[in-house]
Amino acid sequence: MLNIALPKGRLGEKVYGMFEKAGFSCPEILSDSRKLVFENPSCGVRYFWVKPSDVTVYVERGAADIGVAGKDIIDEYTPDIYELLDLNVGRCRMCVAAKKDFRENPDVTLRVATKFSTIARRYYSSIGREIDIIPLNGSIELAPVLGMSDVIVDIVETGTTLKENGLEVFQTIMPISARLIANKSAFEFKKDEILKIQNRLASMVEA
Amino acid sequence: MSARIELKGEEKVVMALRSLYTSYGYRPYKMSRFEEYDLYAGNKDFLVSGNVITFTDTNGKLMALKPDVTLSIVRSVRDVRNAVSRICYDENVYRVSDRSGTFREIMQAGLECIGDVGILELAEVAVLAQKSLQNISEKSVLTISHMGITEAFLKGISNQEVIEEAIAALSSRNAQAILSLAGENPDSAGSLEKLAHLCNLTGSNDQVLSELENMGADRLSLEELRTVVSLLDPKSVRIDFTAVGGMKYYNGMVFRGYVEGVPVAVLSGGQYDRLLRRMGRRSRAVGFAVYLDALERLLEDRREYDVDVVLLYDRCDDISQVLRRARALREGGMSVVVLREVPEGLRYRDLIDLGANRGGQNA
Repeated sequence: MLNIALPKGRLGEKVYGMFEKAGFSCPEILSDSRKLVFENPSCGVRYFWVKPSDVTVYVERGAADIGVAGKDIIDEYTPDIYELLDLNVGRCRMCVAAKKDFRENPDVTLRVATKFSTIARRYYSSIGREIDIIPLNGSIELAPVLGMSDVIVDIVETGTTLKENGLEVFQTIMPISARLIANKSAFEFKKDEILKIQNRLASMVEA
Repeated sequence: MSARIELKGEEKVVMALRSLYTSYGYRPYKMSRFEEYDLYAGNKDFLVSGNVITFTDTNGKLMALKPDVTLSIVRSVRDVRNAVSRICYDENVYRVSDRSGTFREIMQAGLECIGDVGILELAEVAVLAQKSLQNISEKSVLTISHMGITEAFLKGISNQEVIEEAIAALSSRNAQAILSLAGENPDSAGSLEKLAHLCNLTGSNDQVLSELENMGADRLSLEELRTVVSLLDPKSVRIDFTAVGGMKYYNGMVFRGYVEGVPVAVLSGGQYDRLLRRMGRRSRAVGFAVYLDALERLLEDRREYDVDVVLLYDRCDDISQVLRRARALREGGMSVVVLREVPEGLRYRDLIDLGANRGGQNA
């Protein structure tokens, strides 16, 4: 039985659709229930819905053999896992955004509000810029609007939220999409099943 | 009859590994708990975690609680021509745990083979790595890669940052990331495509070896890998190039060991001649460590009972008789606790109430 952690929400449902098409269905999962674990012994799969930012934790700790996590979460938490496949869904960008009229003063420390401290630190250290991280958990756009930060580092999908708050993208740090990930130890003991899923999903992504 | 020796799971593994290593002529080595900090400061990348607990000794020297065993052993062994030192250990080390982000005392067992190391010694260490895993669990896998092969494929790349990114992607089995690097760096595309192919090498070891040959893998390294793999139990060894060692230290084979039910690698090691060169030494070296903390849950004692027999007594009982009865039961091989009443939650197989007999006699 392969344990699979899927991210709760729209992306998770889309990804489940891919698993289903690949031959690993579990119809019960789409029922409107409060259950968190769904099993289909005939396909050898057990799915769990977990908070998107927790998928890497379940996989790294071996509670799930494989899972689907955004590249943003993988790069932020740097879990010791395998990143087997770019599923090419949930596409967006990790960006630096600021108020439209923002002009950077390189002479002062840049104040950066973000949920992604590791990614922001890594990016600014790669260009040698001194920064002051302001860690936030939500409504990041508010920070530059209120003057608490100069810029934000955040995920941008359509840019509507930024626009509505008078912000715009200044740099793109990296593209983001959902990835199929695997636990390193589980990969050794369930290699055939994991490769089967990986190969079927890969042929769907390429198609 | 002597009492049974009750050992915890990790202690049993430590004893089994020590007896395995000594049967191959490895000599147990007891180290000091402290080392001068300088030893680690110069080789931080070699450590699993760069954080070290330090303190100032009475003579003003900055000391460290040992975060690693290999560096101490390397320092203690002298270079002797045509000779090999075989050393094994089981020691506590102090380092930051990846998971909790705080310092932990971690039990580690392992061995180092230092000196005029040749193919025999390399194969012997690989065999011992595999046997160590088999000692821990019936379901284990030793993965082996060879840095000589990986590095030869990287030779065509001049940009160090690209090399580092490619190695990181290889260790997370991310072939797509390596191919996208190849797209961004057309000068290095050929080398990177080969590296991406290393991520996807699956199949039997023979298939992988013949594929490596087709790819034009470094001949000497490939022969070394072929010889070593042929000497291992084929059921639980896999050639896998995602096992990557730090290139500043490792130059030959790299091992990782997994056992079913433990989510992380429980064994790690390889050939690290470059560490010795960095320390100004001529010798070659190979070794591995088994991380016993990772095994804690797997080896957890799941006994049904806390004690075999609870012997209940009363104030009016003759103490010498109570103790004699308990001793007789223990001599029969049982664990016995003598109590006046059974505490809540105690799990026992049998309860002997000395008071019940007496009550019967009194009635």
